[in-house]
Amino acid sequence: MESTVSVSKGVFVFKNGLQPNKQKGRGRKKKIPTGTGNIYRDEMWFQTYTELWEVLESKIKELNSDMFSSILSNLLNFIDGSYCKPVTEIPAGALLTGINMPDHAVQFETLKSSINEKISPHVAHLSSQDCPSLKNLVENMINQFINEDIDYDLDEENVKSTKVKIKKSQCSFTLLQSWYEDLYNNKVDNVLVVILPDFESFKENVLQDFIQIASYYVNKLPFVLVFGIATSLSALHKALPYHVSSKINIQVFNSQPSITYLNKIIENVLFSNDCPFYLGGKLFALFTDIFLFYDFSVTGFIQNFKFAMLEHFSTGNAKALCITHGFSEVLKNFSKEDFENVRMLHSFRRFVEAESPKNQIELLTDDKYFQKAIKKELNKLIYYMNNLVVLLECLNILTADLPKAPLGKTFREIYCVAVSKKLSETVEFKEAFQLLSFQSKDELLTKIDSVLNLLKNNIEIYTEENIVDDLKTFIEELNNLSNDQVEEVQEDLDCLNIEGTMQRAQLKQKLFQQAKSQNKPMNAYEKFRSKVVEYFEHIFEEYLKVPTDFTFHEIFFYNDISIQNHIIGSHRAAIHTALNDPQSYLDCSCCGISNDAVILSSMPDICIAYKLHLEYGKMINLYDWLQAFLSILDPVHADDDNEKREVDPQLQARFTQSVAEMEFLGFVKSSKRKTDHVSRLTWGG
Amino acid sequence: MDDEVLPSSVSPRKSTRNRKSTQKGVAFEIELQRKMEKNQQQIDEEDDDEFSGEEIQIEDTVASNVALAGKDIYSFDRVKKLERLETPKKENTKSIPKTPHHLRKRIGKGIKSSIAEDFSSDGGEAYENTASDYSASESESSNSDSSEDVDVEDISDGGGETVKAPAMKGLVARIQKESGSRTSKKSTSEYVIRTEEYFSNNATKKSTTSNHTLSKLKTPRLNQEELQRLLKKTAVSEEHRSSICNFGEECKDNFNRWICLLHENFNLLFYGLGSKRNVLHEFHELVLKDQPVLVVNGFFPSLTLKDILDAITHDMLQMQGESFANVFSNCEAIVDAFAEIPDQHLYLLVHNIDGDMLRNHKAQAALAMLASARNIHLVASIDHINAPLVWDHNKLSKFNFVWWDCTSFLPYTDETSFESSMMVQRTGNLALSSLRNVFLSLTSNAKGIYKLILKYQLDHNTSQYYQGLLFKDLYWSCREAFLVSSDLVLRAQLTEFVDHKMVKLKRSADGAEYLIIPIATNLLQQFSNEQT
Repeated sequence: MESTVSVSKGVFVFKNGLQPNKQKGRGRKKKIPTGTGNIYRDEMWFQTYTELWEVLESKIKELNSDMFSSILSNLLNFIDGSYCKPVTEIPAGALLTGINMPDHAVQFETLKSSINEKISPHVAHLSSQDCPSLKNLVENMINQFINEDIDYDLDEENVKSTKVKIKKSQCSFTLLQSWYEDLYNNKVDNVLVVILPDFESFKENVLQDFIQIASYYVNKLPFVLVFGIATSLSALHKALPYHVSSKINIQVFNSQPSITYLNKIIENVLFSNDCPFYLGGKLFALFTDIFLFYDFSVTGFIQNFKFAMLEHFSTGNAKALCITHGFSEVLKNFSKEDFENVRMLHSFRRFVEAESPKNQIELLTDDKYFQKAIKKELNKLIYYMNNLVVLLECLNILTADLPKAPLGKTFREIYCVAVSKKLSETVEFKEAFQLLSFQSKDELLTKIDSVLNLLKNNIEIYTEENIVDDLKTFIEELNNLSNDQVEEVQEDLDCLNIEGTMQRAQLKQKLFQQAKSQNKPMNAYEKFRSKVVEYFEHIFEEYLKVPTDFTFHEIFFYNDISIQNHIIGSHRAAIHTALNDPQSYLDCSCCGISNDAVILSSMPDICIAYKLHLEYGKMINLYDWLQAFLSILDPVHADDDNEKREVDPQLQARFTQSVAEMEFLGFVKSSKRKTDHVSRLTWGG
Repeated sequence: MDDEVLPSSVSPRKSTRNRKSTQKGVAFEIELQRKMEKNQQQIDEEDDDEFSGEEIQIEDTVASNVALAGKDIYSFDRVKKLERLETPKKENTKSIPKTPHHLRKRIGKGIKSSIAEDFSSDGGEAYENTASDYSASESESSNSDSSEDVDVEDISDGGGETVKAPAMKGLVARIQKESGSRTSKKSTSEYVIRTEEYFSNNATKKSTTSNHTLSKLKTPRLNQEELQRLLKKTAVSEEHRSSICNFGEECKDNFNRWICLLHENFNLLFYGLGSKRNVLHEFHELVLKDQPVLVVNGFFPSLTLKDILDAITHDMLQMQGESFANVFSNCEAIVDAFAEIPDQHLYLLVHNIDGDMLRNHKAQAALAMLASARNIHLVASIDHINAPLVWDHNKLSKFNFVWWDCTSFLPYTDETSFESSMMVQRTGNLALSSLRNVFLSLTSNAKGIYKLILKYQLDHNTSQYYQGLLFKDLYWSCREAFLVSSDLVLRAQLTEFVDHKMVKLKRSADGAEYLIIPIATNLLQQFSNEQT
């Protein structure tokens, strides 16, 4: 440790043979790493994990570009067509991205590269941190236009390679103009696109000046601006006063909110057939809550998912079985320990106990037999999981638009419930089906239709009943029910035989009773409807089981909520507990306390100092604090009231250190208001 | 609540113990929570042991009524039910003959950790909202979660230590108290920022403190060396020492996981009370010995961001002769350079990433930029209670931290050694010698000026409220001594003093400038004695 403590420097370099790339200049290209350097790279579970993660990552990327493609093409069209006609204002696209900045970096990168590809080689991507002043902004922009263009030409092995790189400090508008005129022989050709991804963080005056200057060159230099706006369009109006905004011609593009993005990721990637890893209800709820109430960050969600995945897989080679098919190959490579690892799963015990004694012994000792059992059980689980996702989607179609949506509007909400308890037993489920049985014919028909479509697309559904066929007959039957049959109401209402005169109250009561007892006979549609609803109810009851019912569900489902602390951290809480109740961490016999106000002399010094400081107000007298400290650690000498008190230097040193640590943690700071006082920086306990 | 209904797969032995199962449930649920906090690997190991031995299977159904110990306000009536259920148990306790010692210990531990977990599930005040959401669902779902069955070694094969009924009673009482206190008043160990306390703390009249000063003590302040010497002698109790050692060992068990996480593009952030230098250092020594590592002491008071970036650009990457317009372009260059050598990794170990000098947007943005690179890995620690406030979600998403509670209870010796604590006597040797050196290099006129200020300060610094020497007065005395000829020359001279922190310029309310030497009087006296 001594090697990294110094009174004169704070940075220590351990180079250990780092070899920087000596190749300088333009020829350098980004290399691809030759493989992961992870220490677990030879472990089976890690290989499975990497494979799975790579699949997911590429799918996410694909989805990402899909999601962005429509808005991207709109933007590209806009940029492309912006200088078709002569313009008097600078064309500007305002891209309303929604509030998550970190997620958007990728979008703007794609935007830049596709503009480069399709429209114009001249794109400048300016972030606010590089442009604190107008000078920096202009230099940065022009540098990107001119110098990156050289790279671009070089790749094409153009003759212009002799051109020297222009220094950043020499970049100015006049230079840009002459360069552009030189390049295109005084014609307006390729547009110059300037992307400002974080519009709000730019300084207003910098932007205003920039736009005004650029507007002078509007006929010579074809600028197109793209603003990424995270809040709302009013930010743009606020930043640019009229005399500036009149210089630009703004067109607004709305991108989808991040919640749709998340739903798409969840439905198309995380719950696709290729992904055998499932989050348990609690964890899934945690992640979505972090998303909804914390940061709206899809990237964050994916990273959390990745972390959960890594934690799941890292529990051993049993998790190498977390694949969708090809168990045999994996099992073939299993060693004795790996089988033991599988036997250690909780659900296996229940499985064994249900077997006959002879089988039990075989399961526990014979790896071959065990292997067969694993395969059988895993296949069951795979069927179950496929069914689960598809059926939950069906259920979502059926129940999403019910009034108040008892089962939630989105797939993720239903999923959360379905994996943590038996869905068909929940109140919400019953409520939803009650509501379903009030649906009109058209609604029901469209729902059945879309369920049918969904099922047709997912051929991998394994049920005893042929749901697809059943549904087809339902639709036929429903279509056969002609409208008048639906409308046909039995008219044979019992005539109200009001005999004789009655009190009004009596009549009222009688009518009420009649209305109650009279079970309105169902018409044909209603009969049919209840049949359909019952059918669905039956299917869902049958196939929507809880994953924990299955043996080896731990291989596919991960539900360890304790990783929460690794994802959101509870820094302040950890310090708070450690100081208030050191026993919870130290696990010693000496520091047990019944409530937090108790101070024991056996506690660590900083805990004592902390607890004492809680008793003070805004200011703390160091002398008194020290006395209190001493009275706890050294109660014998506490009450001798000499003029000049002698303090055990050992104790004084300990107190001194504790105060310094409290200051370091940010609980107190020295105060000049009164001699030997510190002020408290927190309140409460 | 149908918790008493036992599932079909109960072993016969279990049913005989059925009577006290509720109480065991308490322990086991707690046990379970404790386990959940541990990493999965350990659980597997533990279960392996238990699986081979004799065992009782306790279905969590029993436990679930206690599962809500301290869930939240929503579980009002359930908690009441729980209390009712528990009351008769007190009488039952005598019927339990033995509980093995280790089990008892684990119970105690478990309770603690369950509390810790409860309140840490709040996950910081910003997240409180959602936390309560899933704790509610937790209690509901635990019924169906048979995956979390808990097994415990057989009671009868325990160490043979008897548990006195009162001890057990005390435990029960404590549990009741804890579960009860959630409903009546908030348990104090739960961490919630209570805003009303802010007002009660601040709205009240001026806080009155006594007028005692440290000078009432025989030795008002210890000096730094003395302090270090005494602290070295300080002994921690054996039990505490062993658990502190255990923390270290636990961390060591995680080293492989950590390095794995780092390679998966996560970065690590350690929090919790106590110095985490040891953990980081061990990690460096044991795992990263042969890797390129940059250790940054964030608590070092004169650390600059430039030091860090220069260390990487010059010492690591040997990019000599390149100059950068600002830190961000420097960072960009570093990230680019590392993208070219994808098979080599750089590990940044930052002790106290919340250190004084890194506590600004620029430094954190630069670090975040570095940390987001694929082969630059950041391992950092935080200590200040408000440390997480330095990151906005842009930075957090770049950092991509995995948080790790590394509470160690170790003293912050190195971290605080730089701080000028108010309890530490400043010997001033350093100040004196630097003053001496600067003074020697001054011209004779400058020396004269300085001596004038010094003499004035020594003569007038008797009262507590010494304002300083008026600039105008100094000017006239200097003129009289033929030291300066004009106001400007004097000012130029003073600037040099100010730059070396030999003099402080203060402006009073009426605009007059005062000059003060910011060094203790006794030191000044010593200095002036030396000069004459």
